[in-house]
Amino acid sequence: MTTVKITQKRNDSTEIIISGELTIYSVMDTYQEYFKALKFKSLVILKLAKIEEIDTAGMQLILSLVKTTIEEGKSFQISSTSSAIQDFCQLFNLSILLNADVQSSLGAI
Amino acid sequence: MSFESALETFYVEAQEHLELMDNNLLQMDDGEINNEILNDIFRSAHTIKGSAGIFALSHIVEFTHVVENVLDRARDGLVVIEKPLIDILFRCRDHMEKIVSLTVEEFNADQLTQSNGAILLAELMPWSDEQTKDNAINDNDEAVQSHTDIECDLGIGHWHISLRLSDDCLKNGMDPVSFIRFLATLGTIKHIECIHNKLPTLSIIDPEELYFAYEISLDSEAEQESIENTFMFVQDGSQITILPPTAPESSLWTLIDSLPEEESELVDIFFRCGSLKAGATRSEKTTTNTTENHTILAVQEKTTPPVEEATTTSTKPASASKQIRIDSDRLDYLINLIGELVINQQRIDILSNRTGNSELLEAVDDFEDFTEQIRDAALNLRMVPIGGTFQRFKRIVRDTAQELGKEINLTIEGAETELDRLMVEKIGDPLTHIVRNAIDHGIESVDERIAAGKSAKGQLTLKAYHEGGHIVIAISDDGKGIDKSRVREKAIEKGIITEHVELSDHELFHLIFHPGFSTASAVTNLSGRGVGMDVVKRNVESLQGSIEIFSDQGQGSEFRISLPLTLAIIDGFHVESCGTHFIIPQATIIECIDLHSHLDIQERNCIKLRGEMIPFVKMADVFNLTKPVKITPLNLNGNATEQIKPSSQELVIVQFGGDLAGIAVDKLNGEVQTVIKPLGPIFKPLKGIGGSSLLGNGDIAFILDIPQLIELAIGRDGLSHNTLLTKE
Repeated sequence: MTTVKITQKRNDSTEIIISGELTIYSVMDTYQEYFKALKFKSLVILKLAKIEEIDTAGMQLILSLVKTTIEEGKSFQISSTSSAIQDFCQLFNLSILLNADVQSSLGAI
Repeated sequence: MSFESALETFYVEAQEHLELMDNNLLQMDDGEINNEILNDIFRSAHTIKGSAGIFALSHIVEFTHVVENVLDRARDGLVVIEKPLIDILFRCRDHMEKIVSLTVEEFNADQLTQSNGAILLAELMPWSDEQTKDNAINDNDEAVQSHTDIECDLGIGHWHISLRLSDDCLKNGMDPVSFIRFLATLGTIKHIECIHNKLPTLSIIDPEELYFAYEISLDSEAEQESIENTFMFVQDGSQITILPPTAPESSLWTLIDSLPEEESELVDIFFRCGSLKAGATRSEKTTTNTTENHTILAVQEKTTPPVEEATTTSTKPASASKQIRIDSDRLDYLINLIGELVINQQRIDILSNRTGNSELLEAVDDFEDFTEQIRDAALNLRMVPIGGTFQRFKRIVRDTAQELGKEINLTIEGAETELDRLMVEKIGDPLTHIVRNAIDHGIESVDERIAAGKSAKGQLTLKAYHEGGHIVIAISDDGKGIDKSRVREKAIEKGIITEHVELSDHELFHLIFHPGFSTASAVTNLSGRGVGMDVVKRNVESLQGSIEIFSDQGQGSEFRISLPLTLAIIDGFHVESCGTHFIIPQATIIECIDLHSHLDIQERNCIKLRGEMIPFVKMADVFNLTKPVKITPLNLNGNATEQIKPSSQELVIVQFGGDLAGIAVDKLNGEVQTVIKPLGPIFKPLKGIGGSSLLGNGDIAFILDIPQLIELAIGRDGLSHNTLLTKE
């Protein structure tokens, strides 16, 4: 089960909270329901602390989200991660994407 | 391939490898120790570990890893294969079989299995090498090593693996994470580069498609094959390149050329992986050989084959065998449909015969021909050689013999004999029981054998062959044979027979199938509880088979199980008694004679045929049939004069095993192909009938159970003709 909560805030930011499992089993539904036509405000804040399980499909979705905001010239911030995400990123040397200076490092994407 | 079906394949393959291991270990146990066998055992263990890793079945990986490690050391000559090690390896194999059957959760909950595993691992310690084991499990420490280290390692166990997996890999339940995790068990992952520049933006992403690409550097002593096997399930549509430590640097450049990413980016990645040395560039390599660019290109060309070889070997299908696996339910469905086809064909045959249209008849003839061929081909699909079942007994014999301190040589004959799959499955248990009985009760201890002037090693033979439409499986030993007087004593003691009953050898031997009969004075672990042989007989009978015993005291015994070729469709002979249709399986029929031309002896339902006394049963008596008031309209060959004649004027002589008997019926209707439909449970106690079938004209016919009828005719079971409804 994946739960997504998207709040378009008044201070021109979009807050996205993803919790539960973000895996191949749920990624399609999650994408269709929340992300396919998502419009971002100037600042995108991603809260991932409650992600209990993530796999390659889930990670791709998050990275695509990051990539999209950057391509649209929005500011981007991952305010929290979970151990599942950290483990995954560590295995694949993707940790840099979750760092504070994510914006600059993602220029390469 | 979905995840479930891939997992299913894993279980089937693991089972096959476990069987293979068993056979190879047995060969080693027989003193046949060579590298080939050792390699095979290693490969089996290795493949199980490899596939288990892909499915994250960590409990299997952890245990098998140590076993594999010991085997690997044995291959390298670091460990000497000796009896105690073989014994432990046998137990390890059994433990693997156990844990393969458990999921991770089940394993974690199963304390006993866990401790068994721990004990086995402890026992393996003297042969295993701590160093290598730590290396495989503990890879994180080394992962933080600096670039200088990487450069030193270059070429010594440094593998470069480039993965461009198929787009639908995730959809098929294969997450690259599991492959990476498994690679970590083969060695130390130095670096992984996850290339994500193919990843599209949210508006166009297919979230179930794989966009990531991977470049991995791995330090491992493993063989190319084992690393390749990691990706066994994702080869289709993937570009997997595995560069072994021995690959020349030029192969890296060839790889870079073949990859979709930019060269400069890839060079950086390969550098971070430690696969390219700092500052190493293609131009540098060329400039070192300044003079002729062309020659260098040629050299590069020449050095490419190792790469291509690596690529091609990894993209070929996992198994080159021509076999496919089919769900047995689908096969049963097909057989059932063909059964219906056969019935319909017969109906068409009857209807076309009525028209007398010669063109139609010809077409129907062809149709019949092809239907038969389809039937035979379909039935063949279900046939499997009995060899697989026999192989299992090598192990059972070895273990049982060891337990009892006996020496036994097992010979297998006719392993290629084919039998219906269902039957192969069901015959295993009865066979096991007979084999154990033979070892436990039949074959004497070494001292006894020597005293009796026999060789110290007992001989047990498992044999399968075709005989008159049946498969015969014979289990024979050269042991002490069945002690008739003891059987007799015991039977009297148990109240199965009375003291004055005279019994033939045949009848006497059959007493051991009586429920509650056991001659062993001491109840052993293996047999002797008296709950075996009657179950054996019942199991065999449930397969429409029969069992016979031959025994010479002091010389040995033979148990002979006869089974029909298939349970689905038979060639039958259609007979009729009092308007009821019966089918006699063709294979059992010897001849048909006219009853009244032979002398019925003393009202004992016996005739004398060519000097031989043959007992017979009348269908009408056996099933209490009464004549129908009128001839059934569908009875095509019906003719009024027959009704006036006394019934049961035709006698069909049937044979089963060594016994002959006659079945008296009213009318012979000829050959017919019959699809056997099992009888409902309500008819279970009804002896003499094995199933039912639809005739082409829509009538129901009963398929006679010849072995039971013969027993009845001979009166061996002591059943009177009117007590067929036995109480079970």
